[in-house]
Amino acid sequence: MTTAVRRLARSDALLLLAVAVFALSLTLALASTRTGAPDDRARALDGQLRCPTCQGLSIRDSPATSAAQMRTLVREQIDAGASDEAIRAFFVARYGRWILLDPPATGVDLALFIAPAAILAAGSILVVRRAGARRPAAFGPVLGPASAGTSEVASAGQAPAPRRPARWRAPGMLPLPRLARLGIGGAMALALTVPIAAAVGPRNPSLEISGGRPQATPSIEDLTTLVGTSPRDVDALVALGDALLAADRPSEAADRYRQALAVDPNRIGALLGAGTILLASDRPEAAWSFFDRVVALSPNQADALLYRAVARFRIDGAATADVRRDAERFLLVTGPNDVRRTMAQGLLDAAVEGPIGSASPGASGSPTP
Amino acid sequence: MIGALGLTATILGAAASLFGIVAATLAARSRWPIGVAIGAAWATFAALAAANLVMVVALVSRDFSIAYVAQVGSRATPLLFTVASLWGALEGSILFWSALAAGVAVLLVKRTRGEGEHARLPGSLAVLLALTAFFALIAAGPGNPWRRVFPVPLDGPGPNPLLQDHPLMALHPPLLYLGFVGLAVPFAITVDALLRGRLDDAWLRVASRWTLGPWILLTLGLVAGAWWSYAVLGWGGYWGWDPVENVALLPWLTATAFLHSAMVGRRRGSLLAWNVALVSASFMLTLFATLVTRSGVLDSVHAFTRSVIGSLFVGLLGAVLVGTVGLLAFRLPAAGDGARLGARGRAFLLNNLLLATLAATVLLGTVFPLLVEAVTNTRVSVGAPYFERLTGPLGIGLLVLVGIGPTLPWGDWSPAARRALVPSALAAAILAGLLVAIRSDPAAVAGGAAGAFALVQSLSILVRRLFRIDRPGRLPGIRLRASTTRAAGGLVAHIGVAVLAIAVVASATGTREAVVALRPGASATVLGQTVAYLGSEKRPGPNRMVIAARLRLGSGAGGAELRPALNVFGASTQAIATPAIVSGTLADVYVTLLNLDEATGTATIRIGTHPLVSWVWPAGGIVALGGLLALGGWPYPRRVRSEAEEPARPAVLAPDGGLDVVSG
Repeated sequence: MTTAVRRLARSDALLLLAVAVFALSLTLALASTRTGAPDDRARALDGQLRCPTCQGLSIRDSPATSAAQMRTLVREQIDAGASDEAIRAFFVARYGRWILLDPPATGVDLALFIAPAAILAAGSILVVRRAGARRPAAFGPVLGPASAGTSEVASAGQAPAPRRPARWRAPGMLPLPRLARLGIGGAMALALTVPIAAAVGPRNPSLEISGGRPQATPSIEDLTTLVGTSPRDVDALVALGDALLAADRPSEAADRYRQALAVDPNRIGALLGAGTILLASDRPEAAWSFFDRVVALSPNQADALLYRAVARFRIDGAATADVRRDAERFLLVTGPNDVRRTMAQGLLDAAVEGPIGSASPGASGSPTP
Repeated sequence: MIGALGLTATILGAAASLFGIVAATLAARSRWPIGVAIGAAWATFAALAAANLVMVVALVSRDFSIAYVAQVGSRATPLLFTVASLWGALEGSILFWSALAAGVAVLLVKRTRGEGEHARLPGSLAVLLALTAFFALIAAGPGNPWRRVFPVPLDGPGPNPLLQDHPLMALHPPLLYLGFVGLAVPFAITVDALLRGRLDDAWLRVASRWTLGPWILLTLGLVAGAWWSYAVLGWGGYWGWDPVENVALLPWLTATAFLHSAMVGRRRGSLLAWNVALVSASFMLTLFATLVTRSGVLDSVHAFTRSVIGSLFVGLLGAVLVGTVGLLAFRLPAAGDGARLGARGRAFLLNNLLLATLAATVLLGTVFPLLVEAVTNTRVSVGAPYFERLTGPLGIGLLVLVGIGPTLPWGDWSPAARRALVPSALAAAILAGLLVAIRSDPAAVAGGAAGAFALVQSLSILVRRLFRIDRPGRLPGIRLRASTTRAAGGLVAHIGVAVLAIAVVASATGTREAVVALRPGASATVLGQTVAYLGSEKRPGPNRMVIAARLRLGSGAGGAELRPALNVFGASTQAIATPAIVSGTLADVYVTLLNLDEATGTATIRIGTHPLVSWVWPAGGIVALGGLLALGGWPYPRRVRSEAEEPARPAVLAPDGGLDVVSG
């Protein structure tokens, strides 16, 4: 009995058995993958959609209101019998490919799947070639052709042989393999530098100015259609307003912002858009009240702080303490590369030179933010 | 006044480091004694440490006339986070980096002993001081944090609210920074070895030892970051594949690969170019990580600002890349590769292939949106689902290798090695069957079984090795020689990795969540948990307003009172949810307050059960502990042994070479 057990343990039967059981389990698990309880489907889909107002979070993980609204939309469509593909397409139509955290294996995104596979394949070939190398070689520190003939046993106890002297010596003639190495190295360097350069290259300037509004900008036509089908969709209304404003059609944009504010009077994007139009059409008092509302809602909103200062400057005709306070605050909250810093600085300079007696820091009475 | 002091110290540090580069270069050519360069390194370190101290004093004394203090300081911020804001934004972290870089240069001087080792100093010191000079010059010029603000603000906005919520946030960045800066040392040693044409066994040993310390710090830093994310951010996860998390993981992956391939190199005298590439890649990735984290290149929670400093970093990265490639092309010994690998060597090669593919995939996924935007001007996302899909299979492959690798002999694959796998393979198969029986999904079956295989296998090798069960005829008993301790370190790290993998697989595939809205006094049962909503409270904290819901989880005496909260920080509208977590051995209950309606008092809460999450942090600690054990008498054995004294290891002759993981 014991010898039989021992013999069994010695053979590879148990190892094969283990592998077989594992393979069977995995097959069973793959075969019985749940066809999709609505809860599981919703959870999976939520994990694939990006929260539009957050930074890189899925709508499943985000506590934001917009994420909650999108979760409701996902659930409604699942209950209405839509397929996963259709639900994804719905959101892509609304926000662009940007909304998908899980890139589809099509178009440009195919590179995301091909490149790792190619690296793995090329690496495997190298590994197989390297692992198959049967050249007798030195053990330990002894490297190079001088030791190629020494047997492993003999060299094991030896002290390391000195390396060939190569100090601070300019290379003489270039042997071909080194040229080849340099070429491969150069290509590698290029392949690595390009993404890094892209990473820090100039960014889309419109994104910079708008404080990095993350949404892809669909065309005015698409947005008009979208607003036509769901006239109370505040996101779409604001996006359309922004698009119209960018296309230099301010009066139409103003209408869209007004519509958005009728649905949600506290929508910051709409308030900012409307305020900007009013400021541009030389109605600083009206503009001021819009920016003031934004600051009340979000005290660190850089655009609102700057434009509130500008509006106040136009109303009072001088850089009053209010103007100074907003401009200072703007300089604090905005990024160091914001091109509008000079604008705020100009307002502050006007305050110093102007007739206002509050130029000294102590008397400026800047209230605690 | 104090600003002028700080700027002077920074400029002095920059000047001392520049002088040090010259002195070290001359020392390398035997023109000057090395003592001059060592003195310059000490002077650099002293000046830059003083500059950092001045900044801490400015932050603590809330001197808002200094630009950096006005940018990150606030009167309401508690002391710990005031000090931590030294590295909370771009300019401060560059100043901090410069002192750390000078610090590792000094550490290298202190820990370099022995005739042969001293030859490394001039070259390595020149590289490290050049790095220090780069950072000190930025801190003295384009990234000057000492600029004066006029008029002086009465108060500042304070650090990002996310970063002033948990003590782990004061720990996580410096750990990562130390790890990043530490990886400059093996790079400097490697550049020196390439320049001197001495890519030998001693180089590999020293480089891998200097990699191990930073690797431990990186491990701890990554785990601390994950833990913070779980305990503070309230989304229920600990790893979001955020670009900033990814770029911190990348050098860890390449350094891990190097720690393994260095062992092949030392055993077999091979893979020279590959080892150089891994050391250089790790260093460049730390620079890339610093660039990404602090310059705001990628949109993410961690990235705060945008700055011209980015282009300087890209210049440095480019220079390092071109320099390394050039050195490799011209200085690599023409022969020397090609030793026979044996079974264990092949396993190491596979491990390197998988780790390198993993790193390349994570890098690609992280920079892909930027590439696409630069080329086509459209915005795309690459998020967690992509990374999980691609890294999962590679991770499973690595786990299998974790199990098999250490059993393999350095010579040929033998029946004995195969038999040693039987118990753990059976255990894994049984677990896979059980997981199928409880209807787990395929990812859980494959990942769980691979993790169990790696865990059982590593444990059994460790026990057999420690108790000498594998050496019949000898008395059983624990053997604790230094070499055994160091060798066991690798196995302990493997055990940590296996536990971590099991916990990650369980929490990634087994998390269940539900959202309920409760009126005060009501209760509900979701996911098997009964929650009663007792009422809400609003209390001012030192720098915030805290709105909390009082909940009772469970009933009777076993119930626990929870207070998930929303924090509103003074100058910010961003409300941050502080979750309430009941940690358990098998699963955590994770409760987040999503919304509290002031009018009706209705609380919307999310309840989640997260299996095995509480194992993730200790597992990370075990991995780091393994590194510490392997480190032994860091960075070299205490008694400096010359090469001749080093006991020869006829490993090729021994059928089972044991597990000399990072033994020196």
